[in-house]
Amino acid sequence: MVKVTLKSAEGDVFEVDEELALESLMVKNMIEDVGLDSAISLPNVSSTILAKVIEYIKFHMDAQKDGSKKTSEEIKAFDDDFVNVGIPTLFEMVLASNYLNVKSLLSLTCNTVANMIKTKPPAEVKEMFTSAKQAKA
Amino acid sequence: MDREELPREILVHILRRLGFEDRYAAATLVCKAWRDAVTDPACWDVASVEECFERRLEVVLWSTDEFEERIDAMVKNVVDWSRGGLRELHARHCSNAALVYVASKCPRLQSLSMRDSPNLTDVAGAAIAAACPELRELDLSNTKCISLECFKPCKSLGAAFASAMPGLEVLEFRNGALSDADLQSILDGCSKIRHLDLRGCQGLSNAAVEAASSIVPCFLKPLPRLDEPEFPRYGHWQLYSERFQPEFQF
Repeated sequence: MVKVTLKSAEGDVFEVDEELALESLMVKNMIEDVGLDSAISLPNVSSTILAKVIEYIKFHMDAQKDGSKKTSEEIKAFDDDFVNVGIPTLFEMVLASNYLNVKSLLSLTCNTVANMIKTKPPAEVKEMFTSAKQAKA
Repeated sequence: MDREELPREILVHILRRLGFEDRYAAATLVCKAWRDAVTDPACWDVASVEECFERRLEVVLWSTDEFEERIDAMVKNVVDWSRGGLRELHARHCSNAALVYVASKCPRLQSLSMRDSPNLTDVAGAAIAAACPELRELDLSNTKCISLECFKPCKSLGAAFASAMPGLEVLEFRNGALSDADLQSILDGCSKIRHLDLRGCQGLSNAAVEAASSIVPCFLKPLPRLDEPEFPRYGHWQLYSERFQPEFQF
């Protein structure tokens, strides 16, 4: 199995299967352009977030394989658990999945944010975003 | 993470997933970046103004002119923001002017619902029929004033629908003014029709209704017409029947 090396913003190196890396259309294009010899650096993605994204793709690839025993409830439970994080982390995941161009993760995280906003009055939404900002700072 | 830092592209992704009310009201009030993002055409290929009606209890106000103006303003904003890309629009209580505006700006409309708009007339109906050839779903229930007369170029409403929107799949026209000939031309012209809701249409004969129900998979028909009673009636009974034709029948 061919391995791809991904380098996060902090310079941490993640070695993953090529099949997994290709799930990110951005990485896929990079591989097509520069080949597999050098590490692919992802200056916009931190190590924690990159690890999460890899975990997500890995789980879903396993779940889609033939002979996988995962039920749709288990997959849903994983997804729910996966996005059950603080707003700052969630936003970083939205940004990362947009940057890496992982459609399924982008749609999962955007849906989560949308569900948080739904039916909330504007002031509360504002509050929610401001507190996320302070937590980061 | 600052809300200003979320790129517009991502805000659009998020806003697209909100319901109409949140998207329209909340997004415009949160901050500048959101207000900016909400005017992105990508947010507005589907607009269901109708959602606002489901949670509201102010039913009494719905028939007032002020309410119609508010809905008109919303529809107009949505049409402007979509820059003509609107594909689905579901509203109620719209005025003629608003619907004509929709027709002039949104040629790609595929699904339109304007039920319960008592002030709509043929002008709007004709504008839609002429401008939106891709229309597949149309709901004009309880729009009393749209009638055959208005569709002058086509002579009848049915023929207007059939010739302008050959791809029509869903038509809801409850309590509308429709004749047997109209129904026939709809069936002839719109071969893809699979859902037809004509409950409360008074002008149809039982035979035409039966014939249509054998063709259209999902056909909600008007109540069968009762035959005229056999006993002889005096002149004033005739007068009574003419005067008190029930307008609505659900």
